[in-house]
Amino acid sequence: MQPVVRLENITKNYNRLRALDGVSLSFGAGMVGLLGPNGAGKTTLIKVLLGLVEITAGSGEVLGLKLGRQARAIRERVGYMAEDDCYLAGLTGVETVQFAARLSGLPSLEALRRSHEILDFAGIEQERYRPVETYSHGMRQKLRFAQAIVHDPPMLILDEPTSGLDPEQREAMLQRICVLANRAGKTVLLSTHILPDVQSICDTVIILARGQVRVVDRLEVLCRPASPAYHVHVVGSPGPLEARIRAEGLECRREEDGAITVMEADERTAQRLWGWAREMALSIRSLAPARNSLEQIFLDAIREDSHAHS
Amino acid sequence: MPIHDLGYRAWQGRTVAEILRWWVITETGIRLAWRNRWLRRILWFAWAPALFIGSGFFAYEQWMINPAAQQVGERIARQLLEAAPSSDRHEVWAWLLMSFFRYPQAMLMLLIVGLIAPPLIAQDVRTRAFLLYFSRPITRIEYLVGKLATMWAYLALITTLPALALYVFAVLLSPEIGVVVDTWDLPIRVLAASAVLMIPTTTLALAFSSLTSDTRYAAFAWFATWGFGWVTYGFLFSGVPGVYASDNWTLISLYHTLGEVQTWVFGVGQTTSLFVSSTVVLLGISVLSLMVLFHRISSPMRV
Repeated sequence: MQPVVRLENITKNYNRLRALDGVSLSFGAGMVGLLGPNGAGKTTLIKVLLGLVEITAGSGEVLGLKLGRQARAIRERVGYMAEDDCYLAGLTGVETVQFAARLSGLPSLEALRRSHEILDFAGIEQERYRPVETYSHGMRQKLRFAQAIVHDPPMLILDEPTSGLDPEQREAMLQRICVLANRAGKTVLLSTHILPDVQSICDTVIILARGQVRVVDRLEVLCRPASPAYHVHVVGSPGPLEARIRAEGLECRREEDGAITVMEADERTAQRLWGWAREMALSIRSLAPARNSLEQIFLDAIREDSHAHS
Repeated sequence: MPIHDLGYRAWQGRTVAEILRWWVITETGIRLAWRNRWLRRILWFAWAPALFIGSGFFAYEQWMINPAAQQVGERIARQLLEAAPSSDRHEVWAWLLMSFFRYPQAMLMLLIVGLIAPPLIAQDVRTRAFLLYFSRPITRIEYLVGKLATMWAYLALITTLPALALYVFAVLLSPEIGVVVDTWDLPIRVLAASAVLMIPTTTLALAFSSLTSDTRYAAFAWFATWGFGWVTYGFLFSGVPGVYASDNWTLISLYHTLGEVQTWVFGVGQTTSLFVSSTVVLLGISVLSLMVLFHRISSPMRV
């Protein structure tokens, strides 16, 4: 499959500060989560992809177009939802989206028609006729989302699209993003601090720290533990079962939520666990193959980073 | 979701030519500026001086063809200009057009630019609209041209258009159409004078706007620049004992510097050595302002 984004050894310096340090990555169509602590270089990476800043070294392609030389063509095909407010003072919601559409090349009347269509999709109703200055935070998020997709770009870069939204609006926003990726076939790069958002909708994850790529892989692969393991939840205290597992020569650890993770499990482990529970008159609430949590993967990547620099 | 919601639909259509993208910024700027009630009032008033200058053309053409009007015309001309009116039509028309640019319209330009320019970039700084522009297929040059053209459109409405209309009016008043042969260069001089008036002033005003997120500061800087130049010029050339100024001090006033170049453009009077230094000053203002503008609109992207 042809990669949608391919970066090779991208370095970006702001005077003495190295914001990106030899970033190499590639990903294909689908939903990609971009994670990293503050100052990791996420915003700079986005600006590099959009051609808003010149790279110090390296090369890359977005949608088959060369970074730098074809920046304008890239921006024509990429929709960007900024994290911060950005609007034109004095315009109404529909005028703002129409303006964005026209900047992307839609003819005036067609831009107006398309803006109404997209505002319907984004969930902005009659408020579209109000000046943007009067919008709430949630409304502005939706408006920026509408601006990003109004020209129907094949790739979207969404910077913190759900931050500051209430749970209902957040769910609706994630659903819209899923519609764009799954039904409209768009590639979505989702930059966020909200890990559950990435876990719930993304299929690939990139973790940046100190301007370097720490992790880039499919979420499914990342969440698979290094060796097969099981998560066991029991009704009541897990202590006796934990002791029994250890006594049987298996390695295990107690999780914060009270679950027991049994390491180095094989096909017979589940059967044996059921048997021991029956013998000890314990009820198993759940027994499932263990998966690494994204939070753990993220923290491991960050720890790796702080250890390397301590 | 509303019942009529059809979900997301793809868009397939032809986009407009890239070369015209700056016009979107200009058109929106014009529309937003038009909402200012004071601007609309000034624009209504802006054509009044054209009527006055138009009556000048009428009087001159009457003087040329009507012997009875000649005596009255000469008496008025001697009182006002301390000289007999010239029989050189080109010279008189050029002088009238130059006067139109130099006096009433320069004042109106000052007011109109002071109303339009301050929010043009300052508000974009305040609302971080740069990302809205530059994440789209828009270059920094197109952004600047779009903003400058917003002011050019309004300034053309109060200077270039009425001046060209005056020229057409004067041709129509003339006894024969042959006057076009004598005065064919005047429309070109009008366009050149418009450029002289618009380019340095609008780039300077836009540079002030880019330096702040508060439109009041940009407006203050604009009016203060003109006011300071005027007052200093007035003081230096007031004839107050003990205050002597060489002609080069004229350059301290933007208004008088513009006047020197416009006088040369219309070919009225004698070209002085000040013309060269005035041109250099105006070019310097334009280039410096553009450098400030490029730096300021690039800086949000560097963070």
